Amino acid sequence: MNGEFEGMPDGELWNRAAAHDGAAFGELFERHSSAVYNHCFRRTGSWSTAEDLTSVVFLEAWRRRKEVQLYGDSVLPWLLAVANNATRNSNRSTRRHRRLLAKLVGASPSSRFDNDADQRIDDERAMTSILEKLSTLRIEEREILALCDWSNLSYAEAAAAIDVPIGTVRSRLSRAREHLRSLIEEDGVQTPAIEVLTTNSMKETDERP
Amino acid sequence: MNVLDQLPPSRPMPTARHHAARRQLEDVVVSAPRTWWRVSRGVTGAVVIGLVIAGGAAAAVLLTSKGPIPFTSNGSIEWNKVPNYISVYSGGKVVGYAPRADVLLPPTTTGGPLPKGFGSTPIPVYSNNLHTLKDHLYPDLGYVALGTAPSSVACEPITVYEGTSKYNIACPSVTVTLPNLIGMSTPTAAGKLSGLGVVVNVINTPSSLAPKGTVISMTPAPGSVVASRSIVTIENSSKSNG
Repeated sequence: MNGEFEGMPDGELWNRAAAHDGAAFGELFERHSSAVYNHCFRRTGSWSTAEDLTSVVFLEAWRRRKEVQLYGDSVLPWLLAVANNATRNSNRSTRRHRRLLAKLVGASPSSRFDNDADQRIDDERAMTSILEKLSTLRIEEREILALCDWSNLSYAEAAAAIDVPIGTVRSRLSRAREHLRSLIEEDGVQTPAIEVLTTNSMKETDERP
Repeated sequence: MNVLDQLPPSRPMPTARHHAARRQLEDVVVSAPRTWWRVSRGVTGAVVIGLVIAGGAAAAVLLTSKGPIPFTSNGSIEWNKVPNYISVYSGGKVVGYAPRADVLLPPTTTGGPLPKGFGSTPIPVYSNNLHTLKDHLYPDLGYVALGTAPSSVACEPITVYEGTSKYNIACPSVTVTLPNLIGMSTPTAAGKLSGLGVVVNVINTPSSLAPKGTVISMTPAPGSVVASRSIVTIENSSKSNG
């Protein structure tokens, strides 16, 4: 979108944003808003809540831009960590930014979805039933599943995002998957379903869970 | 049928919402308090503290202070209260930053502090990370021009702070030998060059031969001896095609 920033690592953009370069921060928004948006959807099961939370995440990121240590080249793990917190405290975080969010909603009342309203309603139904299924898992387990299996973070990135050692990420994730497997078995469904879910979402680069 | 097979696909944020969120963010970003001293064009009633000669005298741009200038009771500027660099605005946007020593003369100068920009001495304008010269915006500005200025231009060593790093930028009479930066990560290379006191110009080139974010080539070549404050261009691998 902006030639000046093409190929510039997130870390450099982040430093510029911390030095008050709004355009650099805008570029980070363009790069990562979609991933944050989808992550928020998978944590809440609602596209419109995800829209609000995406705004909240970036507003929070901007507010805290000077206190953040980036892990590696990408700012995404940290943004997803902010997204997790925003989701946990959904009401509180949206209240903090309510004035701005109110303006946002007012900005586009008629075009809630582009052209795929039907699919999105189906998405919400499917996601809600998945989240219900997962509701017996501890919140830490749900978060680690969302980070690693759905948003494709590596162990190291997830560790940086939630600020725990890599070993904790591994054990928490395997506990979460084990938990999930037992849930599915209780349902009398074959276990391979979970394997499909996790392998589909893996990337080829880096060490992936 | 297992519900976990039904994980919905990723979808883009609705366009209107995306734009609205971006605009909103920009409002917040622009109105946030700045830690740097703001200098912008043509603010009524503000004090003119400098003059940038862009592309020759005909395209002179007035720099005026938007924030309070720290004057002492006898009318001179309180040097230690001026930030290390000063934002340069054009058309409401930050187009770059100038080290304070190039916008204001140090207080020791006879006759009190007067902006260097008065007269014909150009002020170097860096891009917003203070490392890269904005050559496309102000082609005639930069340390090169300063270095080739007549000997009547007094040169003071400049200390530039960026984050936790501190760089001393020597006068152009000092020469430096360029290390080999090829293959190094571009931000590290830019930092090393800044530490040497040369101006870094980064250009992006998509390349399948080098990992993204590393230096493919540099001009002048490694081992060259160049004057401090001259421009060193490093070519950043912006995309791995391979």
